[in-house]
Amino acid sequence: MAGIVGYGAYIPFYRIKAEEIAKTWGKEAGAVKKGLAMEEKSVAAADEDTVTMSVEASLNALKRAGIDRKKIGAVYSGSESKVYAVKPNATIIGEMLDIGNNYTAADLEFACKAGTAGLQAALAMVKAGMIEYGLAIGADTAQAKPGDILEYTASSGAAAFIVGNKKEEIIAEFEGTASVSSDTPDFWRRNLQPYPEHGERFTGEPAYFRHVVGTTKALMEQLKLKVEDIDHMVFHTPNGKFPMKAGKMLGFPEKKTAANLLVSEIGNTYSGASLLVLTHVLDNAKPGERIVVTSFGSGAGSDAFSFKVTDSITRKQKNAPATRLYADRKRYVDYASYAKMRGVF
Amino acid sequence: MIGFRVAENWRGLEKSRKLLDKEGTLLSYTVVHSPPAGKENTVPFYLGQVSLEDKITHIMEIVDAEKEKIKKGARVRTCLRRIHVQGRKGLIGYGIKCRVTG
Amino acid sequence: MAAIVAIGITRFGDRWDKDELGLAEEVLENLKREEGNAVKEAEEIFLANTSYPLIRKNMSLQQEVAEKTGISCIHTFHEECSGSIALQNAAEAVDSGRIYKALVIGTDKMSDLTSAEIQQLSAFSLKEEWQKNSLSLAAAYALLEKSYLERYKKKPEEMAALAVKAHAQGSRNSNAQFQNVLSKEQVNQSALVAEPIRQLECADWCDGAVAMFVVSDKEAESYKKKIYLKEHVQVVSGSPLDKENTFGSAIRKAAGMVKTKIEDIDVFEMHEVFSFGEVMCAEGLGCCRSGEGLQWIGKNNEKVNPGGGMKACGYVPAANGLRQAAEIVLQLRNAAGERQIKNAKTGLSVNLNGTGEKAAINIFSVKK
Repeated sequence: MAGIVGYGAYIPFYRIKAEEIAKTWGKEAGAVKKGLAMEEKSVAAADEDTVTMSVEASLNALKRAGIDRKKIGAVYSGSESKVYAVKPNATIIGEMLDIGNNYTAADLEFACKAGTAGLQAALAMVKAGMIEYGLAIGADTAQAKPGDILEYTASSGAAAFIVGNKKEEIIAEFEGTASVSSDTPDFWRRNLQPYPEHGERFTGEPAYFRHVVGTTKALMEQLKLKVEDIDHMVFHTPNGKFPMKAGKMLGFPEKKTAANLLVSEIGNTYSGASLLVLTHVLDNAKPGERIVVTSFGSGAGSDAFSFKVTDSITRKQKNAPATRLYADRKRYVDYASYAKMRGVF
Repeated sequence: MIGFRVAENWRGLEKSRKLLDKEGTLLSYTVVHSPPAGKENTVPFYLGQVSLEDKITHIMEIVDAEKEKIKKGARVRTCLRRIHVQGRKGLIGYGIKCRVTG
Repeated sequence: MAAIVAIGITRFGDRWDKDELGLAEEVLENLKREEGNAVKEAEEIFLANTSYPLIRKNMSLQQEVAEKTGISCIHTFHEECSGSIALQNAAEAVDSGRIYKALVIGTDKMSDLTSAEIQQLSAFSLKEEWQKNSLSLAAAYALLEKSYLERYKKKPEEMAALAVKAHAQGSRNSNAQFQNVLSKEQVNQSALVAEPIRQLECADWCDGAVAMFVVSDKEAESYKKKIYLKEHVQVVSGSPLDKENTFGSAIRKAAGMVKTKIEDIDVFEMHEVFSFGEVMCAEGLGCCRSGEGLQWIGKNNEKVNPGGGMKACGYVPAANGLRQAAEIVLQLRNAAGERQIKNAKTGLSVNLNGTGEKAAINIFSVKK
């Protein structure tokens, strides 16, 4: 048996409204907001980065897990904005969490699915009995080219998961996973370039939808699941439109995919995106519910997981701040402050 | 400007770790308008005199500041933030700042 | 008991034209006008300076001065207390009989430092841990002042009276860098540095030099103008910002070690790198009870920093202690002109490092 033992979220304090970005570039806010189904996004302060955010999300996960942190045997940090080009986020995080030195670690990269790739690896290791607990984190301070359409959505946040193999500690049992990977040139960034390029509309059907829908179907087939068997369907959230469309394509009623709309308030946190929605769902999940999570990383690939919530969740949910608390804790900044904070100058 | 040499950075890790995610009380605070070197982009910022669980007085920035909540006696919690970046090539120093809770 | 028998002082301000050696030479020329044989007869020079090692990462200023004067020169570095302590060292040297006559020179070149370097220098006594977390000297004073204002129910605007007083007194001192009169409104409307401290409450770090000719008790008998260094102490303590500092405040400790009674002091020179510092000194010395510093200074306006203090005279860190001593010497000689305090017989100067991590007190008197 393997599953989630603890989880934690972190969203920075600052937000910038779509209107503010639109005003700067002489665009009509209304049209953009409608097109993307986005209101505003989170902005990391100048002294925040994927390490600081991951540390707080992981501390929250530890508080919920209630385990001996020294027994964590693996730390996988997934991000496309890791702090150093060479020097892993994972060990700076591990050191700050005081987990000792007896663990394996690596930084993973696969656009927005780096976090779920780490989650998959950690789950496999605990399931195989190689480690007692694993920590998987998805975090990003997404870089958005000023004036580009992605500027409305590229945001900052982190989600951390501690997985283990002791039945009484597990709050969401891991039922299975399926992945699809391909070489799809929808979004990329060359070395030393500050901002990524993207294939505009190509990022839709051949990239996001093909992989997300395909992988979810593959998982459902593997585990013999029907839409009725799934209570919460979580997708990668590049904006407020795509996940809701994917849900419709797969036949899910809106109430089962509503949690994905967190994106319209906090933006696309890239490697943190689907995982943050998962933390949001877990905050309110009831024992017995089934959650399916399908991430998407440009380049491209998807990881899908099925989790079954256990009775243990009710005693752990409240042990750390809820994702809703972080989403609601906010202050707006203007474009100039945003540019200063994110080092655009 | 206090720099971060390699060994200094390494020795500082344990100190930061020990003070992370700790609760405390705000004894006094000021808003700094005239920045120390390297902090020109971040003024004005809040600086607090904080007493933590270890009963030691610490000086640290107050981040995610909400003006109405910052006053003597406020409860704070420490968090990890960047405190020094050595240009474009050097190490990044992490340290402890705090937020007002509740 | 060592005695100061001659003094020299240069103009304070931006001295772009000279370096530390140049200022040292200039001030010795000024001192020679009071005592022509001073340089010929001095056996040792006690040199206080902070700028040279900071700029050049090199201590050879003492050699340069020695070569220029032909006298052995020892560099004293005690941050903001350098001047006072160089004077103390000279006094101890002549008191011990090791030498009979010494020169003390305090000089600094703040205009050769960048503002970042001046900030660095000003924070020399602040805990490194706190500096990493962005503490500057101004922020440290601001934290203390804020606590003080809250505790004693005072408004920050009340502190403006100190800068106003400093400039009023400075306007009667031809050696002061700033001779303009300030109003309370000007002070309270000046830019914020670290709340509640405002720009016009901060002393200006500048260039200058002060020199003194110090001789032994016996030698002093043959000089007409002599002022004795009656007592001196220096104490290092924990920071006033440290609530758990059980070692106590340096200034209170220093004041406690002094035998002369505070009530017998006729003239005070107090350390006010920020206006609030004057209040800290008045209360730390025991002139009045805690919380009553402002009132006490207001009532004793004339005898506290009669020359305008650091605020009006300009702040030359390594020379400051000597500038204070020079003002007291003039007062005790009855040679302070417009700002003369009647019947001044005993004077006290106090210097602080940082926010009071170190305190140096010198007490001067007309009689032994």
